[in-house]
Amino acid sequence: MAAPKVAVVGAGVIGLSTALCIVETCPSCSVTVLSDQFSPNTTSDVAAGMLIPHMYPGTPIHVQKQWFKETFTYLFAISNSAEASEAGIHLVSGWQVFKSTPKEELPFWSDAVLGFRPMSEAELQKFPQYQFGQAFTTLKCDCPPYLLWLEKRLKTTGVQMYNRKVSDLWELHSDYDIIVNCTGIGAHQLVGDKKLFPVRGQVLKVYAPWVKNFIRDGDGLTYIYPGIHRVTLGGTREKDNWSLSPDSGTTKDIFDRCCSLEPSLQEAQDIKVKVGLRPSRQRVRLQKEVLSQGGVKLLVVHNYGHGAGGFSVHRGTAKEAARLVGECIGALQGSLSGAKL
Amino acid sequence: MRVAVIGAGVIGLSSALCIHEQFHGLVPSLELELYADCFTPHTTSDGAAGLWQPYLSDLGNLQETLWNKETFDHLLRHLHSPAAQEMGLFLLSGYNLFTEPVPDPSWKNIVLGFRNLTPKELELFPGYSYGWFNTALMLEGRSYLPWLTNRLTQRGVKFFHKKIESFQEVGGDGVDVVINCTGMRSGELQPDPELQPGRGQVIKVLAPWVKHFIITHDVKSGIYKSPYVIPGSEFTVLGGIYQHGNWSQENSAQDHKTIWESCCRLLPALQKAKIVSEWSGLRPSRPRVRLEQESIRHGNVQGEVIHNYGHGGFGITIHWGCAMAAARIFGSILQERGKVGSSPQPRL
Repeated sequence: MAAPKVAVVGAGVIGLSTALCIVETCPSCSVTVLSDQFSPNTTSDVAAGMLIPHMYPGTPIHVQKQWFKETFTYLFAISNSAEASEAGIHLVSGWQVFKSTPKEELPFWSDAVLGFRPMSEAELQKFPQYQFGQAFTTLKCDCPPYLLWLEKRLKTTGVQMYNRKVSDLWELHSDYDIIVNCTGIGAHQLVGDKKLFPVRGQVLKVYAPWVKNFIRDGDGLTYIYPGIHRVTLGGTREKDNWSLSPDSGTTKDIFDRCCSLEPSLQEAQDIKVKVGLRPSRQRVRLQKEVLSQGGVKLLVVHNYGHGAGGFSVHRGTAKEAARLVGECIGALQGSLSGAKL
Repeated sequence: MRVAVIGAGVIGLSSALCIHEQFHGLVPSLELELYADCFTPHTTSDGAAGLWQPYLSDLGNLQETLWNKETFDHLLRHLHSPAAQEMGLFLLSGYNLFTEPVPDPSWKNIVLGFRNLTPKELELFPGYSYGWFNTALMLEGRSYLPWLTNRLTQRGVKFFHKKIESFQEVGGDGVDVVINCTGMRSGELQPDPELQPGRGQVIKVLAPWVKHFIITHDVKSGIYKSPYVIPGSEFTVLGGIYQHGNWSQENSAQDHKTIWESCCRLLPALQKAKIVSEWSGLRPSRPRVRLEQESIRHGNVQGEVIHNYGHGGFGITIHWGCAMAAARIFGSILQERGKVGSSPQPRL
């Protein structure tokens, strides 16, 4: 069979990392990335890119843990190399604080991050409204640098990238053997997935270079994540809100909440407001599908619905998606040689 | 009552502020003057990265450990104040790395969250098999010194740009007490063979992705002779030079090479960092800080000098505890002279 032609639809962190994994595991494949948005205009660009997992109710914990560990290990190696600054990957330490002690004192990922331990009394004194906390060191993927670095790596392996809106997967069937659907919130329209819903997040990206530690309220709503050049202040979790327009009342609310966690933020400069729609789902949709139309089959691998946890598990889900693409290729080759699909 | 402070580094400015804060209310005639030939941003304090961290061992000098603690606690109390950012004060976490296990330092309970490094963390630093993690404070001289200067100016303290050649020069002129905060050049006012330069050199780079301090130690060589990386609010400081007895303040190409190569080996990503500037300074090193009163004659008059110098590479770390100690000595001088009642209650 000629080199299998794979189209990856979507160029956020999931699309690009999946394309890279496919190239790594199937060097003979011809991989093309198609997307109507590239960095800096993807949902990923709005996110802070912190490696702190989100819990998917519908995915087994051991699978989520595996995905997180794979992602952490991969990024850890980059952060430790000469490429770290170009890739936008850096270590950051800080605290997750709770107003009341959580039921689960040890999250499933506590042994995957570095130096995880409960906060001391002295550390908690910095957060007078909080009773309990956890200190640890994790990784942060700054965007656009990380996405641009992925794009650069893809280009050196010969992957083509095109700015193109795909309205129907069937548009691609004559040019590609396998379609990998990494369209995030776009899957709602593209494949009509009604189980996928947006969770709107508004964030502020501010200039406050003296903030070197992260601070996160365990409720997930208020957080301060220092990036390379800017600090991301968040946020909101608005289910089923499709609006991409910044809301000024929300901006003030986020700023106030973050300033009460870290008063020095009052001096933050050059506040930029961003909005993203977390592509949320009970479980990440990571599976093969064979679409059928008039006797023609179309092999699809879905990898979308990562919600608030895209960065935390991206490499793990990309590897699994690449594995599924490998299975599709095996099936295609099998059918060519006469075996049934 | 006229008081002259000599020196406008972190020690001089903070001693002046501490004394003024505590005594201007008690002594209405108090006039504070500050003399220096060198002001921010050209002092030794300006060159330092500004990390609060004492040496590994206090050598049994518990008083210095206490002054370090007083400084840390004082700064921590200011962390949430509106002034923090203007002061150049912020929290910073990071790593101390060793090639063998070492005893815990005297300051382990002063800093926040002190703990040993896990095996996985040590993977980040090949060649180092043991280490500590903790959260400490940064106090950047280039912000803190101007802030101190502003507080002093607001309080009516007068500044004089002048090189003082002798204690008599200021002492004779109706000045009752001189506070000697002249750091490295104290020997010019009064010979002190125990005061020696600990020459350091640093490279300032742009590396905003570095969010931790990393200080390596070579226990056999001694303090600051092993690479360190300290991220500030704008620049990251690379260092690792300590040359006892070297008075040169010229940047050395050999030292540049040592710092650059060893720091890039420690943090490969630094290879991509842009170099902004380079600086050499002399740590005013002494076996212990000289913080004591001395009576000095000017002709018929006896004047009091409070020495506050010899803070080596830990001036910022210890400054406020020393300023308070200097203020206590000042208070006892006032008592002796009947300027205040028997037990002054200093106002904070």
